Amino acid sequence: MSLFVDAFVTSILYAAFFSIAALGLNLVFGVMRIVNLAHGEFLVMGSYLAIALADSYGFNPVVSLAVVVPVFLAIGLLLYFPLVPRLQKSGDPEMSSFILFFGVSYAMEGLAVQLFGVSYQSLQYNLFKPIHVEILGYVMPTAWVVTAAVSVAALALVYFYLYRTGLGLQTRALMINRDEAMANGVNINAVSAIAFGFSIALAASAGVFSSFISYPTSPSIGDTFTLISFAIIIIGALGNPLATVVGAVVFAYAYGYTEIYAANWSSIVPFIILIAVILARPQGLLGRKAREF
Amino acid sequence: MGSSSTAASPGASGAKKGRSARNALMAVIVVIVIVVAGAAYFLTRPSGSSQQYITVGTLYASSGSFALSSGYQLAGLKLWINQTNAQGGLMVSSLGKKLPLKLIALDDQSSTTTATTLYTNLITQDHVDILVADFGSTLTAPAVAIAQEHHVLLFDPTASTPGFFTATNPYIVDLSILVSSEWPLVLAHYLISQKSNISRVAILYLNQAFTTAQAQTLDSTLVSAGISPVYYQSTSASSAAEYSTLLQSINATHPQAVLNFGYDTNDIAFYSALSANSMHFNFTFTIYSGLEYSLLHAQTPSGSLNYTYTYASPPDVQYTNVNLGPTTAAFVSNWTSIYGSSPNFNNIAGFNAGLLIGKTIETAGSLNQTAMRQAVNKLSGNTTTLEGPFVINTSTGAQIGMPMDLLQYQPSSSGLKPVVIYPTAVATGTAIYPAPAVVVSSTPLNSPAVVSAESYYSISSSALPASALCLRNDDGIAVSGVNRN
Repeated sequence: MSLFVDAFVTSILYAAFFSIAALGLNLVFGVMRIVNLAHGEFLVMGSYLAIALADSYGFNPVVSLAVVVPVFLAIGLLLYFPLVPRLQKSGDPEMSSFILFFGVSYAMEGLAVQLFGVSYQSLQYNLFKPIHVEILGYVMPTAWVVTAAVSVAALALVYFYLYRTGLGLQTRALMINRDEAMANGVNINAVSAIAFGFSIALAASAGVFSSFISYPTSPSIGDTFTLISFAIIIIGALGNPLATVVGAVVFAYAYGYTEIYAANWSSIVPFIILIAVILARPQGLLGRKAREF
Repeated sequence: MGSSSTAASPGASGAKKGRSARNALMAVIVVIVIVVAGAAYFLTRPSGSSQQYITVGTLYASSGSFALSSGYQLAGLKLWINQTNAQGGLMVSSLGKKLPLKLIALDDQSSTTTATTLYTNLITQDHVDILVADFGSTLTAPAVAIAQEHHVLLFDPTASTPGFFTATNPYIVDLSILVSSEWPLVLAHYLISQKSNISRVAILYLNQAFTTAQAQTLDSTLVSAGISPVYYQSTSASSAAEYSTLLQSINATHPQAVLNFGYDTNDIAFYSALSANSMHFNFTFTIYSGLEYSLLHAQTPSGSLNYTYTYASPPDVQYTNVNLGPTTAAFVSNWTSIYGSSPNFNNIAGFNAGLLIGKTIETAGSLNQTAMRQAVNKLSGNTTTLEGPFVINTSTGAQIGMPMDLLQYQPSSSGLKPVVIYPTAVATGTAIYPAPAVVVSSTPLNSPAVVSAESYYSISSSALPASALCLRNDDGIAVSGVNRN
């Protein structure tokens, strides 16, 4: 298989993973106009829970989702009420959220150090049998394929939630115009709390698979996930959850092909694209109108 | 108007005299206060003879990307401090007494910005007698200029970037690690000696000073011997997916040897990507599989390290004929009895730094920074510790002793055995080349699915294959690993 095709396949998997990793961040911004800078730390916590479940009970990561999703959904709901409504009352929720969640991220990293130590931890490929599968002549770990499949399933669920349920309709109404949604009887706190819970659960779900395809889990890796997720949603369209997929694809392919043809530039090119997108289309590739800064 | 200014009334004259008297009194009081305060300061300030302890100031990272390695180094330094204090401290001849050590360790959280502030605080606020750098070149870099500016000697345990060491800066000395540009010399000479089998070499390196220096040395040494690497690439990759793509590029060049220069997290991702792609190379080299074997063994797919190569350093290489501190084996035994697990290289580097600091103070006979630097030079060339011969460039402070030999991890009935293969004078076996392909079984493995470095220690400390020191024949002589005199 040529390097070009090889990078194409690897980038698809990478894009699928980062779609689910960044999706929750965009959902929160779209509904609440706040930026959760602790997003990566929630992902890391999800990863640690999956590792603990595999370590203690031998849980397959897919099975772990049955625990991780409800646990972090509940955490999200519980965190929403003391944090987010106060931010909404401030004059500049976006800026206030930056500061608040910056503090939350530091607190969570410190908590992770206390709970899990500073050592790297990973799930092993042999949690899936067979360890490798061959698709179109390309041999890859089953864990990577499962990661991509779960990501696609999560995207489908989010799509279903947003476009096929009454709650989703209210959520989209909030994204489009908060005041009009409220005037039409949308319970802002209830809808926002559920969206916040989903966001945290999505991040934690990505964390379940993160050590397979991205970085070994450690307390300090959350910042990296937040940075990449933030870049992806800006490239796609800030406030449009499904545009996250486009952002992730652009980011992953920029990374993958630069790694092949100019590895020195692999950590730079995706962010050059980010800058170019901001300059050329401030609303993002799929954004409808310019953001207000 | 003129008369009124010259003919003062008796009342006005009295008032003027009164003010003069008060001014004089105030001046006397001020002088007395100054004298008393000055006397109090000079009487109560800590004088040389009243010094109660030697303060050792250092930084460590409780979080961030260097937390693990930094913690290892600090643990080694702490053990030396504890052992020294248990013996009453260090003799400072200029003070005529032994002084205990007091450690001030501040948390830089792996941030160079925070480290810059804290190094300055250690010097200007805590007035430490001994300044020890945090782990590695990245977190040592901020200290180099600060120490030089304040004329404080920086004791450097594990930073090996050549640029830190110049003849114009006498305020740094590399205690426990060979300067990084020298690390791959043994490796390069081995590859050159195997030129008939290994002529297609692929070099991948992280774009950091520590790894770039090694890659450049290896590349230039090989090129000068007529071996032009078929792949020579820097990267910032740190995830398995990124390394997967890079490995496809490398594989396309059909290399006979693949050398990856990275930190621990890079090496974990590298081996994960190798496994993910079911790739196999005849010769695979990484740095941290030797420096932090337990971590790499625990966090990489089963069998990843089989037949791979790395630098041979303590504890795999053991020094028996030391003249400062314990032998490598004695230290490992002591460490294991205290902490329940074998030490790694960075533990040893931290302890070794302490040993040399202690000897430096005793040799200097004082805590004067210049005197200590001169004392370090005196130790160079005639001191051997558990880490090997201590030899520095006395002009620059760069470490040129403590060689990095080459070892291969070879499977044995008790696990992976580190076999030193080069130089031949210290070799304990021969390389198995080409490396047999590792069969990764799809059947359930004996190893747990998830293993942290710490839990690995607790699970199988007795079976730690990296501890060549545990493998002894009936005469109690180490049969794998190197015994060096």
